[in-house]
Amino acid sequence: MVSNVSTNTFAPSLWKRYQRRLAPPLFVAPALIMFGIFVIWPVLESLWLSLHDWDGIGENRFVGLDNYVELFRDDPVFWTALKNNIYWLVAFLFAPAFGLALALFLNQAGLAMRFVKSLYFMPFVISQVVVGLMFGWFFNAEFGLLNHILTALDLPKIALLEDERFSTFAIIAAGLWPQVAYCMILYLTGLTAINPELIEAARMEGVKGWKLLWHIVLPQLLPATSIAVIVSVVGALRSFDLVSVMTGGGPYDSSTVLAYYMYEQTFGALRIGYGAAIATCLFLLMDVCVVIYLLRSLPSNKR
Amino acid sequence: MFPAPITNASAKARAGYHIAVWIGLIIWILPIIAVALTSIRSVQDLNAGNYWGWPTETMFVENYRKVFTSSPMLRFLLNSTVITLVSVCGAIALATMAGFALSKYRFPGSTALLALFITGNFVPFQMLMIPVRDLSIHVIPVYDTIWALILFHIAFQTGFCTLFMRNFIAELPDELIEAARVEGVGEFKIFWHVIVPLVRPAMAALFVLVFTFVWNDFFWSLVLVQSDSARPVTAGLQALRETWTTTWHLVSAGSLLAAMPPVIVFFLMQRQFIAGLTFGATKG
Amino acid sequence: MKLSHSLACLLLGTSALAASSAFAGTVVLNASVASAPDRDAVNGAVASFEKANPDIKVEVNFYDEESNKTAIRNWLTTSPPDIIKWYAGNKMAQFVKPGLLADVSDIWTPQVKAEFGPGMVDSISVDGKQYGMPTSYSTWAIYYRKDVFAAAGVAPFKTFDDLVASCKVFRAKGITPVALGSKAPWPLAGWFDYIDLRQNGYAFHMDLMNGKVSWTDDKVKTVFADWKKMVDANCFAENHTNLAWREGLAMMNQGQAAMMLMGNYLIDSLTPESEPVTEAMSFPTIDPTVPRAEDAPIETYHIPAKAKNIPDAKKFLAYLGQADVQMQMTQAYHILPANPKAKPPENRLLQESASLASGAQSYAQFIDRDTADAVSTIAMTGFQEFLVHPDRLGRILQNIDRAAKRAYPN
Repeated sequence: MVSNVSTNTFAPSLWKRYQRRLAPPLFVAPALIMFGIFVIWPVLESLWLSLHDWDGIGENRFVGLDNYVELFRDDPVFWTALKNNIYWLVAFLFAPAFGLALALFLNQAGLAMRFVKSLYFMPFVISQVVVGLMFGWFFNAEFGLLNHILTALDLPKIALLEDERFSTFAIIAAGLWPQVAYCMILYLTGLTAINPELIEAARMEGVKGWKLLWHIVLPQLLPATSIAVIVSVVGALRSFDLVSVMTGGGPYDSSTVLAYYMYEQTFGALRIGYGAAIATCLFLLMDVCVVIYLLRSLPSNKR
Repeated sequence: MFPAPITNASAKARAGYHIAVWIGLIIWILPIIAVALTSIRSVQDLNAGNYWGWPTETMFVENYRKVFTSSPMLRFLLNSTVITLVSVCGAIALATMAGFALSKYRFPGSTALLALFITGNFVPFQMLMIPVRDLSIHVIPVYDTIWALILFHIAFQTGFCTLFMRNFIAELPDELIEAARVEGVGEFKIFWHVIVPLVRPAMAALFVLVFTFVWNDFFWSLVLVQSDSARPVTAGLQALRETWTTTWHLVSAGSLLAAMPPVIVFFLMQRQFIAGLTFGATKG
Repeated sequence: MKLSHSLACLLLGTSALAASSAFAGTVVLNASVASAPDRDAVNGAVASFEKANPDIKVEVNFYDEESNKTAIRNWLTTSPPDIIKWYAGNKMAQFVKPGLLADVSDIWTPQVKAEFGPGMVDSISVDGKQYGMPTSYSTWAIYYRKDVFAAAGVAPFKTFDDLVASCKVFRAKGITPVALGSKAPWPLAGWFDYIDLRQNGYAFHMDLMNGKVSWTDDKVKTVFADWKKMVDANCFAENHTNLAWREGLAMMNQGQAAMMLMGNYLIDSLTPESEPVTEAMSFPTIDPTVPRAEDAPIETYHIPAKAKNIPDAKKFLAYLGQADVQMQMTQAYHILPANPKAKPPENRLLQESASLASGAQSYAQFIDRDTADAVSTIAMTGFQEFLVHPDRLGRILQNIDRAAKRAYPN
């Protein structure tokens, strides 16, 4: 800096004068460029593609809203996928509650407890591909552990992943395992952040047990709860890996979800425009969550 | 502390509690235990139908060695390592700069940009799938190389990381920056010498989090890569399932190998991991 | 003087270099392989080609089948290798129409055409021009355990009704009649193909594949009526919808199932205990007046239209068509050479299944290669649903028909 001034005395450089104004865009630029190329532009292009009929190598034909009409009017698999996504959403909204229960159970001090808590958290750290494999074996109709246990209890074997009525729920159960672990950690951290004086004061007033939980503790956990809900919603709608590994959407598309159906239509049936239309529907479904999150977070960010 | 500390209860209650916790733990991670047991099971056990009982003989070294000799597992692990480390460092670097700009400067469009990064984080992958694939084939020809995955992960993870960094840096006192400015320190030097040392904890938290997300990614490995030479371990494992259909001990061993690195990183950097998960989020 | 002298040397030097590089050609081959012996076979063919053509170097890249299917569409439209591995029939035609494959009719001399026979030549021809080289094919048959059959007192089938009747016998003995794994539903398509070929014949089947006949046609319904007889007789394994086909085969290897309809790559998945007692038989007749047709999917090599070194690639392609080369390539890999002059590998079951398939009037390529992907994906899922819920046939056929009308809008 000093050397610049000494060699260039009659006009301080443009940079020196304006760097407070020029620096911010420069700092943001790399991130923005990458994000723009790989996220923003693709969203727009997908929207555009969804208005076309294309198999990837032939002619890219504009068809307007035909893909959407076909989705809603003629495609039973789309409605199955949507229905399954709703099941996922509803089931995953229970994850925070289960997570809270586990967190309350484990919220004790001690060296062993630190180790135990980490182990309870492991399901979240493992790849969903591996989770899908584990639960696939667990549910296997012939030699799965579940059926082993049932047989030991003299109960009939069940075939969950082979049955169109149950396959989706079996996959959801597999998905809840890591999700509950995630919520558990959120709540464990939230619990340690609660002001202990509040609890002491309430205890001295004779409040304890459920009342203490409901009136004092839960309100303090509101930030953790809102995060747990949002990540559970997003997680429910992102469920590609498990469906792909455990059933491939089967039996006969009964366990498919929008995320997987879109992939199948693009790479299996080679209908790129149609796949883009399915992705757009999934995007719109997620938009609802984005709007909620933005409404919550932006006001507090305006400093 | 809620619930009441167990140390205040009777010895019997304490013992009962700890037993319950450990039994609960075993049930909770039973699938992992089962896979670990299967990975050291012998082929004879599998053929005889002994899937869940205690293995008759433990073949730890043999099975794990077989995984490496009969498949490109080493290549897959190497690819995953390179892809993950480069992506994580890239995303954190970009996000720290962007987060700094968005939190400590007021400039037109900064709120809109922040909203953009937040929204982009919620976009389902499927919405990006075809265009990103086409991008990697026609525009920046990196399709079927690890660079396709690296570039994408840096770009996508930057959204979440920017938000995180922005919130963290916002908490840093403005006085520090003002003081440096008064001394005539340039903006970039402020960033490097003042901000970066202070955000190390946040970077550590992000490192651990993003490592897990990128290492465990399956979807983009399927979409952007075809060759074994560039495949990460998630897609590689799935591809191997076809050839290993009835050799469960190999699939189990392979799965555990694939699952290990994020688990190891997690155990080494637990505190940062948990801080990362809860911090950026609770502040929002 | 000095400058022009050195310039002249430079010019001479570079032109010599250019001349020599014109003789040193490189051919890039992207091969999809299913196993280690397969990979060795390709490497072997490459080595012997390079020995016979020292001025050409072949660079090989290996892929698994699924990846090849996905990646090939990208290669063809951007910067492709010089040789790709693909399939005959409609699969090839879908790339010929947008002009993505090079015309290689010049390597198909009348001699070569005579060697391969009209069936093979047709499989890689569009409008009288040839676009590829068939190298191998697989045949389908009903593989069965002769010991399980003998124990139940069942003889190999002559008619379809024999097959259906045998299911009751097997069930009574606690044996699963048909081993099946339909998690990836293509094994079911084998059943559909064969019942259709036996019931309605090759011409009708191809019309259906090409969108000239509706999937709701009565003749199609008879196929499902036949199939339903098997479902009613409880022929198929339980819970097949979440089993990979090899997991289904495990049942037969363990002697708990009697038979499986599959391509001859099943042979590699038999165990040392089950292989000696496994036999092959032709799919039984339904209508004796219908000329016999078989499913014999053919694997082929092609040259992309945008390939960089087409002349040398053509040499390699012609080389791959030679009988001795095809013999050497298929020996260890347990698949049948396409060139009829090449002797099939020394494997009992392989030769059995090949002779069963030979002499058929016509050969189909299997539904996922004979019809558009958008149709076959819906059809195969539909077959899976039909087996579990035969009462839903009406809706299933309508869905497939809708997809077919979209794919073949004329």
